[in-house]
Amino acid sequence: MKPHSNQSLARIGAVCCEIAAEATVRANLESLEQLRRQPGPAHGEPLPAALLKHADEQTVAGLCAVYQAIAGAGLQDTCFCDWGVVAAPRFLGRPTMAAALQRFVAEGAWGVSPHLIPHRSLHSVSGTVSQALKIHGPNFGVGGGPDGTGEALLAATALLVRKRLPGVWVVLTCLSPQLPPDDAGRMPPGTQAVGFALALMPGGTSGSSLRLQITRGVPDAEILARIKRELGEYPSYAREEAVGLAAL
Amino acid sequence: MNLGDAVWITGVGTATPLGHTYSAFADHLLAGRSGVERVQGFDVSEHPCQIAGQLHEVPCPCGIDIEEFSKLHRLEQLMRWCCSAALRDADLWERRNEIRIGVVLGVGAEWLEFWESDALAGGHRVYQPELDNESMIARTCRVLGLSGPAVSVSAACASGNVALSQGRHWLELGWVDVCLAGACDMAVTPMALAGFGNLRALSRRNDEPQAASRPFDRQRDGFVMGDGGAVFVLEPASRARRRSARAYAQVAGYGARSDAFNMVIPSPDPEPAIAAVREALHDAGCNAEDVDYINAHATSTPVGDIAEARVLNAVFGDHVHHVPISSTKSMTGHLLTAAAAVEALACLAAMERGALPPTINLHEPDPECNLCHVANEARPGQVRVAVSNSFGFGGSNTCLVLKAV
Repeated sequence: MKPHSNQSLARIGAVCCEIAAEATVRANLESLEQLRRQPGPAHGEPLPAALLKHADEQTVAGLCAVYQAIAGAGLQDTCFCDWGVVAAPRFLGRPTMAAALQRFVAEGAWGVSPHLIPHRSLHSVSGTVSQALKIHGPNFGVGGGPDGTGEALLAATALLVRKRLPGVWVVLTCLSPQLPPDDAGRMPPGTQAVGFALALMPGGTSGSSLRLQITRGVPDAEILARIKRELGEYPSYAREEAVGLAAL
Repeated sequence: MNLGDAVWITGVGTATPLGHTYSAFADHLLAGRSGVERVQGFDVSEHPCQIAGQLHEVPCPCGIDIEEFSKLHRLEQLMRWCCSAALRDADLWERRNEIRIGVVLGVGAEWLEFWESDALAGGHRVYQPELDNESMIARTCRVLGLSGPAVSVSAACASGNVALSQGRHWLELGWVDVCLAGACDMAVTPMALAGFGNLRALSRRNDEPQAASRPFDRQRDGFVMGDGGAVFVLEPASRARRRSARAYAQVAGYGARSDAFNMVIPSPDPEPAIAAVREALHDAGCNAEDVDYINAHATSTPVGDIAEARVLNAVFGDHVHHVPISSTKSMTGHLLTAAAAVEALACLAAMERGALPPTINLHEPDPECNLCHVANEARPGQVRVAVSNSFGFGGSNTCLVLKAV
């Protein structure tokens, strides 16, 4: 198929960018402590020792995926200083919140950790990646719920194109499988933290033949499906109807 | 929309501790009233901070069953109220099914707040991932019948500016005909109040709630949390003109840079924040001298207010002593994820009413915050260009420029 020119893309409300790098990391929660200390192949300055000490498991996996993507695409010498970061965790902090609720009930206000909010909010993954890679461009979180993949691609592409950034890291994370934690915030054995990182760059700048197109606010279905497969599907809204929940 | 077409704000929906409509909010803001009081609704006797600007009740939008509405989580109530009120204000409610309306809302901790309120009411949703199948924003769009894309964004306390910027981009890219953009937060919960309190970020002036939020004042001792939200209808100017819509302002410029320093503590290097403000002014085609009013991020923390004063001095130079500046958090409290959106609303009020909202409780300005303060009382002033700074955890520095239309 003949590629659209930028002008014809704009007429149909479409934008296109290149996928310069991508990687997926799946880490058993039991092995996460090692990754907290060394989340991946070194890039730039050494990380502050405590950067990931209180970070969520999903944050660690997301950052690992970024490092893997950098190494895999040979971007070690790239300066990401002016890039952006858009991260979409899925239900960030569920295990920690389960334990925190128990502790709050038992101990009251003094039992709430001051690390809960900074490290389990929607912006926590993007903020940490920004800090680790010394990225001074915009960083923000998107989605947060069952399926933030499309939301992340939309927000990242708009940012890349309209703010004329050299690139945007899209970081998607989740726990897989999605099972309930116990009262102490422990997940069942075998649970993995999954991180998927995608480096988006403007058309014609990365040399990559992989493209992401968004038309009228709808991301390319094939790429969307591929990313969802990497992360593991989450039960759709149809399931909510199937289990008989009131559609509030 | 045509490239080069401006993006206008043509509708507003809000609920804050200062009022549930734009006009009530503007009235109370310009009267210098505080919405801060002792926390109601849960026991705060063991909390280090016991005060906040709360939203006790969210109005039910017209045409929605009150009983059904009352079962919703308070954050979802707020979203529905703000979105539907904004569409009605823009005179687009009846035509919402005929146009492609996108939604970008700052929502920072939807699931944490939901799991907490559910658990404290005896529920177990934090242990039931199989039931968490739809986000509040997706459900809000579905129930309101909005057909465009919808995204929740969070840059912590800068989220509202991120949302307005994204909404503007979506219009420029032709993804939507109209976009709802803003932010909502109902953060005054037992655990969030405790968490921020234990972080030593909150004021402990529990005996004087209305005097507790005092940005730029020498006696400030931390911020005061607040609930609320504001959602705006963004629309291409050409479209708004065709239908003779009321225009509140133009979303003219935006800048965003990250500290890349610490998740909580602002960077000692002011450069990223300086760059964000300069980028926003450049984007708006403005010079520092063009700015008529600055709505500061200033939260009333000892470190943050001084850091922002340094940023403003660097960007505005000598002009900083002539540009009126205030922090409306002195009245609303700090609405966290929703702060930037509500502060954009304060800028609209200043433009429309020809009056500059004050920083209340500013009796002894910190000499390290040597700025042109609008202290304690509103004062007359024509505002053609307003700047609204918002910074957040995660190192986000953002700046929005609004121009009168």
